[in-house]
Amino acid sequence: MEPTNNSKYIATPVKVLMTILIVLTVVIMLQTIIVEMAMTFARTSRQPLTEQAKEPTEEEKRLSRIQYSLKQCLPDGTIHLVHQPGRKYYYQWEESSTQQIYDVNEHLVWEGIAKDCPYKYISQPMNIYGNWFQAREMRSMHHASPDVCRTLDIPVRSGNSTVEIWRYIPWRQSFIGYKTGGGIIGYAGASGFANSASQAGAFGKFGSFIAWCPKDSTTPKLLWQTSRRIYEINFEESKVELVFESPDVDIESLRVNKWGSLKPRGVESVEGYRPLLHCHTIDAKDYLIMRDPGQTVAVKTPEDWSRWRGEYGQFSATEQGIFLYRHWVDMDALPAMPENFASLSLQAQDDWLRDQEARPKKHWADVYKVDDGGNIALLNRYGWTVPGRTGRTPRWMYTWLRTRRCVSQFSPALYDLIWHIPGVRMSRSDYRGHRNEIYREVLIFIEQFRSGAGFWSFVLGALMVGFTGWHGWPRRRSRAVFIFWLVFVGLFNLAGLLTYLALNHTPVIKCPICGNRRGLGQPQCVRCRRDLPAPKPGKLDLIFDTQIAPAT
Amino acid sequence: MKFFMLLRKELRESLPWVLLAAIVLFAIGGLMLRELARFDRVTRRYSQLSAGETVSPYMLTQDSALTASAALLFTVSLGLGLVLGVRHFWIPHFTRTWPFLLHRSVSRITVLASKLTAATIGFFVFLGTVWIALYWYASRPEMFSVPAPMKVFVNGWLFIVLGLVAYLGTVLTGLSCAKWYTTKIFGLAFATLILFAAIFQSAILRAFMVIAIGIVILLVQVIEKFCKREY
Repeated sequence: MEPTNNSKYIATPVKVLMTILIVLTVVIMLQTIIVEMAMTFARTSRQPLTEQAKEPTEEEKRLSRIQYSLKQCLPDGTIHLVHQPGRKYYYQWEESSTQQIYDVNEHLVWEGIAKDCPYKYISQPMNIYGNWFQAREMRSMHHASPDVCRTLDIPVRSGNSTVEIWRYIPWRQSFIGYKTGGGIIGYAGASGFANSASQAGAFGKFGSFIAWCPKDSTTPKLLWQTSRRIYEINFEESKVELVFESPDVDIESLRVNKWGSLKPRGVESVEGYRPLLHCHTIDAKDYLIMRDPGQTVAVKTPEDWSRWRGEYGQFSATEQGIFLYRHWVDMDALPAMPENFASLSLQAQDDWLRDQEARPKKHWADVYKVDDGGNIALLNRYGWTVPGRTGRTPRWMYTWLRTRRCVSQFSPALYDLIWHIPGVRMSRSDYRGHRNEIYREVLIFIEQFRSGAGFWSFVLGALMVGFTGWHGWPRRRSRAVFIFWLVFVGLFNLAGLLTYLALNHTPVIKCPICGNRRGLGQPQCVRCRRDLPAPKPGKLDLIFDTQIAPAT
Repeated sequence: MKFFMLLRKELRESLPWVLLAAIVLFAIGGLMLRELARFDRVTRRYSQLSAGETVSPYMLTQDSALTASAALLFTVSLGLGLVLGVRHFWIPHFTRTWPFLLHRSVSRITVLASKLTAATIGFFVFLGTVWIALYWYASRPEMFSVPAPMKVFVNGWLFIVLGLVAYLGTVLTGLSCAKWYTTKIFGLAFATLILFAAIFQSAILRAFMVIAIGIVILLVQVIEKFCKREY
């Protein structure tokens, strides 16, 4: 079997595809390197001396104290502002530092060492991000990379030694148990512990998990979240308990407060807390699962709260009841971003952003009580104004943005076409569990480096297409191929031009008949359609035309 | 018949390199596994767990005993691909022996098929056999308390196939008549792209799909170039 003449119709497009992929990769790397180098040099270059910072006024000190105070509430709904002088952020606080407590009318109600504080505030559940293992991390554990091949193994301990290991099998969505001496113990799944995988069942698509050791054991227990369910898995007692099931939609996030040994950082908890699991679904509904006694409450929050994302609503359950602490910013008073923001000049964009930052913003802290039916009642509310920030954008940021805009003019026009496909922008912003990270990173890159169909990108594109036309005209073999390359360079810009040159830069000669430039890819001249002249036979040529065979 | 004779010839020429790769993988991988088996730490691995405390999830994620051997397989496979590509397609060019091979009563596609088949046998039979042996050893309950996961085994085969990608990239580069500073190295560059695209996939099926697409692209060009080129 030999390849036919038609095989070039497969091999040539494949060659073009391979070349454009390589050249595009090189162009992307160069663009990224140039932008990063510009930012590095701009940051390390000598900054102009700024004016010395003025001493803040009493009013500015008061506003700063309010802004950086922790807004804590008591079980009766009273809100206090807790402040540690000289420490702006909560992670800087220490138990041995001086602490001041103000009421909402800014009267100092207590001052002393933090650990001696007489008030027992309602503990707010912190989202223990560092200890939640998310779907993204599970996927990264299963990359095909040679240095990353990890498994999730849960030990069952007896004293100081491990007697069993339960390994999570991702494609089965269940656990398989091994004895440390060798041999399979069984399987753990949604139906519980069983002797076969089919009996145990699958947990479902993995969402996240968190683990803790009970007070009397060093065998971890897991809170295992799938797309719609939450299980508590106890390997030591071979129990799987379905804690919660979302009836209609997927679970978006979870928070815990005093669940097992899981506890939030920082503030001392009030006695008599109930273990609480706060489950937030993707349709912005909140469910509270509590123990001691067992109770599930579907909280009825107002619909306009769904506009807010992030840690604005935090629930706690004590013997006195269920409380909700909510921190929000009044964004309705601020103007919306103009629709043509991306097409404004960098200076105009910077002016608009600085104007927004300079505006004072009203913050609110609300405390609600939640009844057993899920209805919320406002107990107390405190508002404070955060002053706007003034000052210029750092120079390096300006340099970085300008450099990025310049190099983006050489990006393929295809990026803009992709960006305007319906659904692409949603995919770029979707960081929830199950999107392919490579796909999202590619979209983020396209967003950052697309040319935006600006004037200069059109000019550059037209120049490159013009050059391709001038270069390709004497070398053309067919009109269709010539037009293809023009369109190709128009779509891929610099990468397209380099690909065209890599595959089509062949020598040209002067046609001996008409005197114009012509390529050697086909026998006829593209202008006068005459063939290439045959070479004159020389004295030592062995092969010569029989019509002019020398006389013997 | 001619194909099998050519295949024998190619296997004979490739044997030293293939055997070397298999022996290196077997010896070093086996030694590493044996050492890990002697100091199997699963019973002491979780000594940091404390009662009444939150457990960091990273304490519960473990490397497999075969991770280091898998990394070695990856390196050996790529190296074998480069070496076989040079041996099959660059050496005849440097020693000017292409005409002796090609101007015979056998088609070019037969010559090409024999070389590709010899390389495939080298990867899948020699390296594959060693990898199966290492996985079997790592799964024995008397050696390790918990067997190596199946995923590591499948990953190993992925690395073997990546070696084939490296081989095809080297072949394409060797067959190219362009200057080295123009498009000659594009074969190797594309093989590198495929390699990175494959190892960063989180789903093994997608990784194999990426490799399959890469192999098709490289193979089509190799066939076209080999059959149409002047030697």
